[in-house]
Amino acid sequence: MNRERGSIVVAGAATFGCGSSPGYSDIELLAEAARLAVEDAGLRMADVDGLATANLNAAMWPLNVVEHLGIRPRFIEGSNIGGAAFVSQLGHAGTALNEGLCDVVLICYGSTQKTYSLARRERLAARSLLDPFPYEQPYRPFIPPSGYALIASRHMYQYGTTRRQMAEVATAARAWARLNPEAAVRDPLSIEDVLSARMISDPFGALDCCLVSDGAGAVVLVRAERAADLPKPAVHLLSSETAVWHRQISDMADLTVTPAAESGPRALARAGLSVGDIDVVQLYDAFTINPIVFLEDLGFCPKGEGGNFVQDGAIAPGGVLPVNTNGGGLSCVQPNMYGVFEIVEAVRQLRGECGARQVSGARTALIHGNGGVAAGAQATAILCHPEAL
Amino acid sequence: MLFHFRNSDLQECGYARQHAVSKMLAMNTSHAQSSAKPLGAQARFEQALDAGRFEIQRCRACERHIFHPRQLCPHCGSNSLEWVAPSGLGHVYATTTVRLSPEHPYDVSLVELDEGVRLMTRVRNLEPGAIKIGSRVRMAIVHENGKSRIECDALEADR
Repeated sequence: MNRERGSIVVAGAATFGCGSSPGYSDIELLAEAARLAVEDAGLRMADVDGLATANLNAAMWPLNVVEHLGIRPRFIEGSNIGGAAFVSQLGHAGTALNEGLCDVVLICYGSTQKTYSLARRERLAARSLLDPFPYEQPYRPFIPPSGYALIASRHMYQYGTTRRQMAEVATAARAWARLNPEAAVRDPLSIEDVLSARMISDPFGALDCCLVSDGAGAVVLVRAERAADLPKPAVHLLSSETAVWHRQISDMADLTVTPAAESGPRALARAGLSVGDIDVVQLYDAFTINPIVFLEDLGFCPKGEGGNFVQDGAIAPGGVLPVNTNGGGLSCVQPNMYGVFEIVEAVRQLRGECGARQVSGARTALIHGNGGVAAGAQATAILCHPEAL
Repeated sequence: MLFHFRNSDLQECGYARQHAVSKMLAMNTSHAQSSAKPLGAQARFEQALDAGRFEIQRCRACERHIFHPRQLCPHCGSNSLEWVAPSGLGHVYATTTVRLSPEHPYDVSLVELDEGVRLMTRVRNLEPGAIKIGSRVRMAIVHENGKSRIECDALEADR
């Protein structure tokens, strides 16, 4: 993606309507986040000549966005690999900017999956009609928890990972959320609360599963030379790498290894960094097993040791590795495709805008997105403060 | 209506016999439909299943077994795939119990066949939550409401 290190800058970042936004539609929430991100970058909507977006309910979503925002992009990127889409689109946007295909790229997403009039179950049913899983649907897996529950069952079997260790992921996320005024859920949460919650798809209880919320997020990318004139401190995009291996859980070769094992090392290599250089980490926590497997696949610990790694508050505030500092999809915001919110949080951390949850001296951030009903699509991106270039 | 997958003679006689039987079945099918256009992999799989035969694909080029059914071998790209009858035996690779309705929980499992391929299925002779990863299972075909699917039973020693 990069011609020269640091040539692409995330100049604007914003969220809108996180939590519950009755009375809005997906595109309306998206538009408000887009407006705020463009404003944050010190630009006007008319400056946007590149668009990257996706939505699980609409096959031609970029058209909806172009029309609503009244923009005329020269670069349009609508590839949809689920929740990992926006982390993946960072790289495509960076390439387009480096190649001079456009000057300002807006990456944006909005969803009212919590308050939308068509119930979530009906939308899932509609999706399964249009894009069926003929070899899995007869067995009625609860999508998406069951696929990840199968991953967890195998991880527990092979490596002795426990429900208590998975619960540590949920309590760490909640501890971060309690420091974030924007987080949807901020009540105290104990390991016992997680373990005693209603079971959903074994080994997951309700609190092993991410929130179902509304929300919108957007970021604006420009070339570094332009960023010099813009109001906010520059955050450089060092790399964004994508790997897709499968679609359905029965086609996942090894349930304990995701394509993060490919996207992560590629992203770190392109950024010229190793995991030891990373100050703050955003991991797509659709379920509590996800960050455990991603920490292994990305190289923060050996395969099978993710459960041990997260114990004793290791990824909570004050722990050895700050993970999901906004509260994650488990406690902050999760409107179906979470990746864009990870990017926004990483930008805010590297700018030093995070108040009580600020990771002191954060200079590098790793963002990892997950997509699909069975971890089949993964994207890893690395951002940094100018001092870490 | 319920059919057990009849494979006891195939197990005893090993792969050569299986291969011959599945080839014979394939020939019968192609003879019966000699005037029809060839089917895509999914329709071909479902047609056999409806007729009481559980068949998976094997690549003639790289000789690896394939499931789910496809047009091309995902290992080597070849389109020269044949249908073969698996042994019908495998083991539970992963399992979850869905508790959307607490009164009516049910299991969803991934089974790895002895041929090395994996499929989603249901272990029907154990209570929800009683399935253990590693347990040996025997596959069976279930016909219900005009549709056919593969389920399995845990073998006695592993129950």
